[in-house]
Amino acid sequence: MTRGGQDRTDEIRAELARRGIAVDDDDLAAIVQNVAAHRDGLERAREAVPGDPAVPHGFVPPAPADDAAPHAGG
Amino acid sequence: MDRDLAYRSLVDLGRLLDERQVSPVDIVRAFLGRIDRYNGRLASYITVCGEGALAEARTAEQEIARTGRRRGRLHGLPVAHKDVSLTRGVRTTAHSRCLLEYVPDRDATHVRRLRDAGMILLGKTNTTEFACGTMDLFGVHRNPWDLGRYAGGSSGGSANALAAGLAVAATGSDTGGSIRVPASFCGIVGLKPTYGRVSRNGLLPLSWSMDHVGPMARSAADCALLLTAMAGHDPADPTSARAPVPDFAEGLQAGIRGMVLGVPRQHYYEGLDPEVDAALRAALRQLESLGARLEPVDLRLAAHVTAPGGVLIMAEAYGLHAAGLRERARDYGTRTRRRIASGACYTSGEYEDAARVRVAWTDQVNAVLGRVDAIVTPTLPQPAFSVEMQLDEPPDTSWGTRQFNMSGHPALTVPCGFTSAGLPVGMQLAGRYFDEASLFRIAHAYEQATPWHTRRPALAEAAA
Repeated sequence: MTRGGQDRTDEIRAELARRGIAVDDDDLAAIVQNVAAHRDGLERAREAVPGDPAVPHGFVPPAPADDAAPHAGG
Repeated sequence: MDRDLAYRSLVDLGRLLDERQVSPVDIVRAFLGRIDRYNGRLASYITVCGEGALAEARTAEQEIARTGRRRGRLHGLPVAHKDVSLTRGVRTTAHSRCLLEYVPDRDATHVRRLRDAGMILLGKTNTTEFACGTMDLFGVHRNPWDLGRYAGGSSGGSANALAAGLAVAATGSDTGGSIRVPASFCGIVGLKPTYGRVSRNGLLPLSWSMDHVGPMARSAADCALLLTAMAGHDPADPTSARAPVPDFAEGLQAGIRGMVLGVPRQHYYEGLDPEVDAALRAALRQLESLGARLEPVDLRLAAHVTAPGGVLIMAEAYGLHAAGLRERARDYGTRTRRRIASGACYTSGEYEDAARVRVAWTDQVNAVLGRVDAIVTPTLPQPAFSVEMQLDEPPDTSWGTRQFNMSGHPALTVPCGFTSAGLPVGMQLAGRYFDEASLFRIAHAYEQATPWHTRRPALAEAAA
């Protein structure tokens, strides 16, 4: 394992321990691999997104306005 | 007789009930018989409501006899719910040792709505643990088209039950493709509705911003019936939308002449299994021959969305399971424990970055859907893979589906062909917010012109 790889493993081991999650070496290796893959993918995605889009508070698509919300029934 | 009833549609069975040719008890008995025969091989159900279903069927039968009519189009017909939906008085395990003895005292909203519509609870279908991990306790749901292959996850029990005639209607949950992936692998129809369309109250959650509940069946028309009953605002779910609910079964026959369908230039038609590619190209030609116009569209972020989506899902899943992982980590299956624990490792900055990607992606989809009525893609780049591969190192099956969990748009899969090995191929249709009706309309028109949704697996034929 490279120095950087060992550092990332140590960092994740420490974070899981801080949160009280007991993992064995196999768990840790799988988690490190999983997190690294997602971080790489996230970084590539951020590079593909122009600018810094504002993140909305909440996430509900705009419904057609209708307070009565009529229902066709089953 | 059992097989004949088991492969009828909801619409057909309803007509048979209306004409008094069969009773709800006949229908439930037919399914229970097939479950008894095939569930051991398929691992479709975790819990079968044998006596309970028969009791509900007798009640429906008496009510119909007393009033002279059915309460509605779903009255007296059975439904199976994925075992992450709370069901009053019926064990709800999420395929987890953590919940082996859990018997809820209430129904999830979508369960209650289908119950109120008169549907009979047939059983609880198999799922990966908490819809994201291991299948250690109740077996791996297998694909009826080839028992050595995986049914797809996580709503694989609902999908394989429908394909094998062990259910006529089912529900599933979909956080990254968990309705559409098994539906595609098993050759049935599954819809992930618009975010907010169907209440998640009473769904054992995985990810608050990505979870959806939706219908699964063997045709678009049956899914339309189910969604009409399941949908609607629910004060118990703060993310539930206050949107009118149309009768989704109306307008199915309108055809698709003049509709504009977007075909993405990026990601979705790249690197496909050659037989999947051929099936999709043929399906596009079929849609064109039905009068739709195909238009190439740009979805440049499509290939980049799955990793940020994974960050959101696992960070939110960890938030829900933090106490469980701290207090009883060994009760979680290995893969589940590792996946959810990974969510503890992302920073708030990374979560925020993933949310920014979501915003940009959603803007791209909305821009495209401003010009076209729906987007057409393969549901998966390959047909179902082996059970061994699933147990060992499964490929990422959310390749084409997680995108619409990220954006919240409705997306449906419909069978569009078979490989030379006899494995189903699915076509995904994604539409505008709250426009599930157009997806049903396109899928129904396609079904009327093609035989794929009428094929049945040989397993059921041979052993019945």
